[in-house]
Amino acid sequence: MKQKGLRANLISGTAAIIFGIWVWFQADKFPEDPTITLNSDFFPKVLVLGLIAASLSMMLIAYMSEKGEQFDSISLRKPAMQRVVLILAATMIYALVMKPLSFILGGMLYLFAVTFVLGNRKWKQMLLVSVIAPIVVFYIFKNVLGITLPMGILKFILR
Amino acid sequence: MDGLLQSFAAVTQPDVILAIFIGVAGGTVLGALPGLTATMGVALLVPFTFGMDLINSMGMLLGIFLGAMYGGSIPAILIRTPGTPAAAATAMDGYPMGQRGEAGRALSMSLISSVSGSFIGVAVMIFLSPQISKFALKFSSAEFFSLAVFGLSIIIAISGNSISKGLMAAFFGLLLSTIGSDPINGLPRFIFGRMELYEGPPFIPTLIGLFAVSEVLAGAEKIISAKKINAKVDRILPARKDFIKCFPTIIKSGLIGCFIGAIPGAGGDIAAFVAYGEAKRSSKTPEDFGHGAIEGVAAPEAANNGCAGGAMIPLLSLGVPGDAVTAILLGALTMQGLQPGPLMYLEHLPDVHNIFAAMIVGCFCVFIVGALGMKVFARVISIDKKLLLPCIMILSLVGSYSMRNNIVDVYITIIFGIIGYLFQKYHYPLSPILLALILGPMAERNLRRYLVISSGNFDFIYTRPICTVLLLAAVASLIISLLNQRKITRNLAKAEAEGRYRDEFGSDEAPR
Repeated sequence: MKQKGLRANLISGTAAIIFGIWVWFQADKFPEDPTITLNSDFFPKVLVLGLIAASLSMMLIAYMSEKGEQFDSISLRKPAMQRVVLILAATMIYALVMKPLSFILGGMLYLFAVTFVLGNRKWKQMLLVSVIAPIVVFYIFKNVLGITLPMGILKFILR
Repeated sequence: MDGLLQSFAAVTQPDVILAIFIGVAGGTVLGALPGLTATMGVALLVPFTFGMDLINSMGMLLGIFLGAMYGGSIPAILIRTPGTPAAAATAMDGYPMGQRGEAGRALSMSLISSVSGSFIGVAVMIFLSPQISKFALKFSSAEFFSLAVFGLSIIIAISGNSISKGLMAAFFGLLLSTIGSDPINGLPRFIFGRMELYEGPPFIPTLIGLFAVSEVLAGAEKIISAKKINAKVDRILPARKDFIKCFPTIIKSGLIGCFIGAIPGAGGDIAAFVAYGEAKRSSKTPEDFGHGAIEGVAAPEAANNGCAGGAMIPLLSLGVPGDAVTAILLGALTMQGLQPGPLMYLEHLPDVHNIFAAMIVGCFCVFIVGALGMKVFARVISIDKKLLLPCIMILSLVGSYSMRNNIVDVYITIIFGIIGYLFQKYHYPLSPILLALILGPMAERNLRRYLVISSGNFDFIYTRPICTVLLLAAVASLIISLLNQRKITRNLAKAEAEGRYRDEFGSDEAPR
């Protein structure tokens, strides 16, 4: 248990330090303004030092702690994690196709797919919600809030 | 006072009352659904209020805030699962009351306590925030920098179980806040050629990602079946005897909640537990607490709703949010062209009065919505998460898109959703990131301004009393939190050791 917790903390702490070092090198590339003493890189660099110090302190405390933190491991072998990854993939695909396909069509496919991934097998309920919800949301946004969502290939029908 | 009365005339227009009502109803539903928080609800709805007038927009958002604080008590009492973190203390006595057939009694006391706490918080806000803003007009760059540091230290001290992780989250949020143009010379930083980032990471899409999308992903991981509610919800108003018994507790808890809410970073969950602890300490029958004491429901509910008014005090008078929800309200006010802070009272006093009036009307709406909808909200808990979660995701993406009609904002939301989910998996708190995004620019701008004026001298730490007090309080809050965590760890270790001794030797004697 302690080893799992320590490993998780070392991973996240190391990632934070690498991120901080990357930010430092990016900040070095900022153009300098000769008219002011403290340039654009001052604050980010101070923050990077703080982040690295906090990361090292966290890792040291985790190493010296007698009882490690309890962590759920991130393992793709677990069905729960597979659900999360599938939903993320579906969300990214939906974001990519929202404009060309339309909010409504993309939303219908997305809702059906995600409710399926989450384990719902009540087909009528899934179809009903998948079809009605995006239409209702589109209508409310367009006619009540005055915001037109992407119409994609349906633009000749929805205009 | 005349201005406030005029604002009532503006706020009691049908469209404004409808906006507040919808906000309260929506907030109550959000609060009643475990896993959805007031922060998420306000974050999701802010984009949709962009096209509204200020008063309608603020009325709806404040309505969500007040409604969610009340709504969280419903599942806390019925299924021992607080709808919002602020209702966690309510479950301790609310659920046992439900188990012995008194769910209606608990829910009615929760409603009256929430409404009363809201009124107390709003009343204190109306009287105190103008006084604080007058005091804050004397603040200069050094004081505002120190205030930002103080606000961040409080949220770090109370978020999660690890100060170092809280600090890491805060530094991460502060680094995010440096994306965009330099506040002093306007040069671009970390935008990598993308002009959409010139004004910084878009606040609302970032927020929706961190607080809504990450919760959907976490909810998808732990998907469980919705519980059926069998409890009888049979009364709206508490019995006169119960109300008289709890009245002093409600007043005291409302004030505790309000003053805790006024501390930047401290929120309804802390207020609720502090009020619960105080109610138990001062009760004639403290042994009843935890087993269905009616004051155990009244105290946390009055406190967490009092906190709503309290959290608005530093927001309006100092421009520093009192908690995560008011941090989002700060963004909403900025979107409407207002800059919260002491100057708001000088330049936009009618708008301030409109906000006061909207909150008062919101308190009435909480009562009406709670009274009329109690049975409906009790059923809302049973909504299948497998249908709800994808709908929330769609609303999140749509909310992000609608800010600038820009699909890049949707991608940003998804990226921050992944970041927020990973943060939660590795036990990093999210609230410091949110506050850092708000306070970071304020801290940097004011620090660099002061250092330019003082030629790089940090003497404000000991030459300006307000700065000294705020910075010492910041350090003290972190040290106290660290000591408390160590104490909790030691006590847990001792309890475990005693348990092990008993298991090994079959004796109740504590090991030396």
